[in-house]
Amino acid sequence: MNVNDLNQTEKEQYKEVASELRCLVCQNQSLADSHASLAVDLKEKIAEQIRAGKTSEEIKSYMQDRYGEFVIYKPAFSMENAVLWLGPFVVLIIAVVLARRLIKSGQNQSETRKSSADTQPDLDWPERLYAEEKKKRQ
Amino acid sequence: MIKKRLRLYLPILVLLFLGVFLLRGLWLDPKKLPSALIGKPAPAVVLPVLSFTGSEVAAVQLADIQTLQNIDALKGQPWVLNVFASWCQACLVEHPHFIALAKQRKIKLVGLAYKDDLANTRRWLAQYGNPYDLILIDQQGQYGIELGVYGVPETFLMSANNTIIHKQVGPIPADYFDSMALPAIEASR
Repeated sequence: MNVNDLNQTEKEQYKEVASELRCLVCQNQSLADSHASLAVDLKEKIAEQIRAGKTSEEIKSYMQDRYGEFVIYKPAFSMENAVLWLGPFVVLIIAVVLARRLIKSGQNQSETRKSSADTQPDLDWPERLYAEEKKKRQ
Repeated sequence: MIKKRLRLYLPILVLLFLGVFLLRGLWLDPKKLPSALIGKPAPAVVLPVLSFTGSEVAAVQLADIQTLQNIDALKGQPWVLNVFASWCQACLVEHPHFIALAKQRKIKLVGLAYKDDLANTRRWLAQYGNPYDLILIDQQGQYGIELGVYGVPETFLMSANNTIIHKQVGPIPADYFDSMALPAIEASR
């Protein structure tokens, strides 16, 4: 069955499904964009299934059962790909924690420097130096 | 002190860790897909059989589609399903390996003529030799879709009870039987 045999609402669904599935022959294209022979066959299959009243989810899982998760552009969350889904957030959390620590320790250091400078201004250093020098010469 | 040391080496360790993954990535083929059907039963359908006896280069006859083969009826011993076509260049690479395998009579070889003109299939088999015990026809590529075929040639290994236990995308290596088929059959027992 060809896409042109579908009615308007069916065509909308067809477009949605075909753009969310990956062409297996030219792997960086969606089925919708591909004219590879297999892609054409698969698009006919999609049209048939839409006419038969299948939901988009049913059609996508039909393809996934045969071609694997690779055909789905947005793979569902599972234990196998958990690292990929959660990894960026884990790295972000680590980065935020590290950044906070760094900023805090930086603040502490500059604060202690400031406070020591405020409370004990070392103004009599020339006298001290003079006294030390005098001692050495004696 | 140890903490300071650790801080010094941490970036290098992280870099090495990343490097291991990137290095491994150099030897991975991102285009090779694991078959979603490994461990699942071979889709049970009835397919027409191509009649081919020796060196005939005849046009397609009605007789071609009068015999049918139920995939389920192939149960009983492990067998190989080779998806091939006369228009497929890479099929010529693996064809001598199938011929050799057929001569050794180690395993049943079933060919699936995929989206091919039957006259061309016959001509091709007559020219290069026929290694198959049985040739099935999939002119519309419908059984190919059921099997998740995306690039010809593809070679499926079925267990004695028709479970798909191995899949090779692209030409099989010369030592296919010993390096791929046998281990898969052993593992499936």
